[in-house]
This record gives sequence, C-alpha cells and structure tokens, in this order.
Amino acid sequence: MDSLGQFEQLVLTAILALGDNAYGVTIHAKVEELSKPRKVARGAVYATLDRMEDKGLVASWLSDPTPERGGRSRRHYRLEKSGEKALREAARTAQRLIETIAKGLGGLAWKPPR
Amino acid sequence: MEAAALNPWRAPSWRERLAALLIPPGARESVMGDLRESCASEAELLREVLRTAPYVILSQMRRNLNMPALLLQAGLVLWCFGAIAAGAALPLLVLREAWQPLARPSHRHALRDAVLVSFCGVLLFFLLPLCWPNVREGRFIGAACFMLGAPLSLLLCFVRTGLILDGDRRGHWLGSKLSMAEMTMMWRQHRRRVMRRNRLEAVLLALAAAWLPGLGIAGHAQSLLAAMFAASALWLVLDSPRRAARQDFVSLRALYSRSLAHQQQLRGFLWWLWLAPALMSFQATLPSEGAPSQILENSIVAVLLCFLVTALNREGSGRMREEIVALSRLRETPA
Repeated sequence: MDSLGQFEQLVLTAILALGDNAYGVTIHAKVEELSKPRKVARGAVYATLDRMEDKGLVASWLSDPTPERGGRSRRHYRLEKSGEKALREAARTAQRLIETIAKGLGGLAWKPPR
Repeated sequence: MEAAALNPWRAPSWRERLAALLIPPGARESVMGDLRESCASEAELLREVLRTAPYVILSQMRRNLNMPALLLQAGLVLWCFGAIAAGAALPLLVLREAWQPLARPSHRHALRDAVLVSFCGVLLFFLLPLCWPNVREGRFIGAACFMLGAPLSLLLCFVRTGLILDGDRRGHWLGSKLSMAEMTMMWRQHRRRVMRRNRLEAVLLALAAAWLPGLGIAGHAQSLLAAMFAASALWLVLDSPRRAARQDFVSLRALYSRSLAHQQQLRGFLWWLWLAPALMSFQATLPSEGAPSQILENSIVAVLLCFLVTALNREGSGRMREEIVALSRLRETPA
C-alpha cells in the first residue's frame, strides 16, 4: 500500500474524528482546526477526498437534499478498512518520529512564545 | 462549525446557478451545497466558487480521464489530420472529460448533435479538395456531399434513435432502498457478466491481432495496432473484478461503483480500438490513390463509424453515471 501524504493524513483523521457527520463543510473545518495556523483551501480537501475515494481509502454516499443547501444533497464520507490501516501506519510512523526527535533534542516540552 | 447564513428557503439565484456551471457535474451538487451552507453572503459564495473550481475541475479531469482512449483518439487525429490538429484536439478532449454529464444525453440533445455532426461532416468534405489539392474533381465531391447532407443527417438520427431506444429498454433498475443481500446479489451478477464479456472480447481481440497484419496499413502503424490489440486482450484476461470479501453495505456499494466506472472506461477504450484499423485503412486511400467516389464512400463510412462509437460511449457513460448516482443515494434496508 502507498504511504499517505501529510494532507491525506489530515483529511483521514478529520473523517475519523467526525464519525457520521463527515461531509465537505465539516471535514474542511476540522482539517483547518488540525492544521492551525495554516489556512486550507476548500478545493484541496475535495481533490484529496476524490483521490482517496478512488484509492478505496474512503467511501461516500449522498444524503437527502436539504433546504439550507439550496435543495442539494450532502456527500458523506466514511473510512474504509484500508483507510483505517493506512492511518494506523501513519500514526506509528509519527510516533517513531516524535520519539526520535524527543531523544535527539532531549525532550519535546512545549514552550509558550515570548 | 460554520453555520448556514444564506437564507435557507431562498432558491439559488441566477448568479449562483451561473457560477455552478463552473463546477463539473460530477461534483456540482455536493460542492455547491457545501458552499451554500457555509458562506455568509452570495458575494462570498461566488468568490469561493472561483477559488474552489480549479481544484475540482482538475480532480474531475483526473478521475474521468481515460488515458488509453485519449491517447488512441489523439493518435488517430494525428494520423488523419496531422500534429496541429492533434495539438488542438488534445486539451479539448482532456477538458471534456471533466464535464461528463451525470445522466444519458436527453433525446433532443442527442438528435440535435446528430444533425450537427452530419452538417459538419458535409463542411469537411467541402474542404477536402483544399486540403489535398491533388484530389481531382473536387467540385464533384462538393456537389455530391451537398446532396448527401440531408440523407446522412437522417441516417445519423436513425442510428442515434436506435441507441436511445436500446438505452431506454435497459434502464430503470433501482428503487431508493436495497437490502444487503440484494446488493450482494447485484454485485455477483455484475462480476459474472463482466468476466464473461471480458473473456469473449479478449478472444476476439487476439484473433483480430493475428488478422491485422493482412490489412495493408503502413508498416509501423500496423505493427503498433496489432501489439495494442494483443496487449488489450491480455489486459482483459487479467483485469476482472475481485471477489468481495466480507463487507458491509457502504463498502460493497463503493466497490461496485468503482468497478462500474472502471469497466466503462475499458469499454470506451475498446470501442475506439475496434474502430482504429478501419479509420486508418480509410485514411490510407485518401491523399493520392483514391478515386473521388471511393474517397466519398470512405469518408461517409468513417463519419458514421466515429459517430456510432461516440454515441455508444456517451450512452454507456451516461448509463454508468446514472447507476453510480442512484447507488450513492440508496439506503440500506433490513434483509
């Protein structure tokens, strides 16, 4: 399996965190929250969702149309088994990275900016 | 989370509907809905559409791009009309992929296209003596084509109507709810059907690959075509939908949708591949050797064949998209 890019990890994590409420608007908001202070283009989220759906990492379906969306449906997303596996693998890599950096720098204590 | 700020009961304005045209049909409903839900004013919505559209267009292009079919089409344009025409056609062909409609073309549009194509064909025949000055009796060709314009248009409309009726006969398959058992059965039927069809077509492609060297097209193109037929036969044998492991409704639906899209891309390529030898042999007679009547016959048959393949692909692709949209709206019911 291909390893995930950083942005793909963010989007997958957002879908995981949102559970049943994962659709374009909420996923974009969650990704922005996770990648603070960086701003995230909404279109980049859609492109990544499309790509991950083609890879079989996420599955999507349409909800019923709602009036606040001008009579349009939401496209909901959910992690697939392969998506969960890829995310676990990415988390393990991140864990190893953190441990190595902490060891090299003698800790990763957060210091408030002056 | 961002709250809905636009008046929820207000129907989309003409500006919003116009801006929505920038978003390709495959993503329009969900993207425009999201923007409508999260933008505070119409001006902000329009700005967001402009910012989002390039990403969505590129993504839809990547998703819908049928690379083998595109290369084959570009190769045929290059072979028949030269590098400038191929260079101009390629970006148009790529961009067209992003705006694939979500349904089969309407009857009215399909027939209008048929009439348009036939009269463009007539125009092309008028230009033929200009492109190849050594083709004699250009006036004869022009006059003959002018007289053939109306019957050709009728013939294309007839072909298109046949395809529309065939599509209507096959359509209408889904309700709004389906149980897991029914979905599994549908997937199995689809898989069996695809495997049967792929095996049969692989045999035909292999036979055609063996027969192609006798066709008499110029050397390299002929070998390349035979190699493409043989490679496609092998591809079809190796490429079958995988058996679905224990999956839930949503995952099986996603697998089914991906397989439908993949098979349609494959069919789109194969229709053009089947057409390629005929077009190349017709074109080989055009510049110098052919008599005017032969050129005329070949050109008409070429237009008819190209039209037929394009119409078949449009109908197939429209039907596939209708099925995928219907699948993604399905709700699961208890068995």
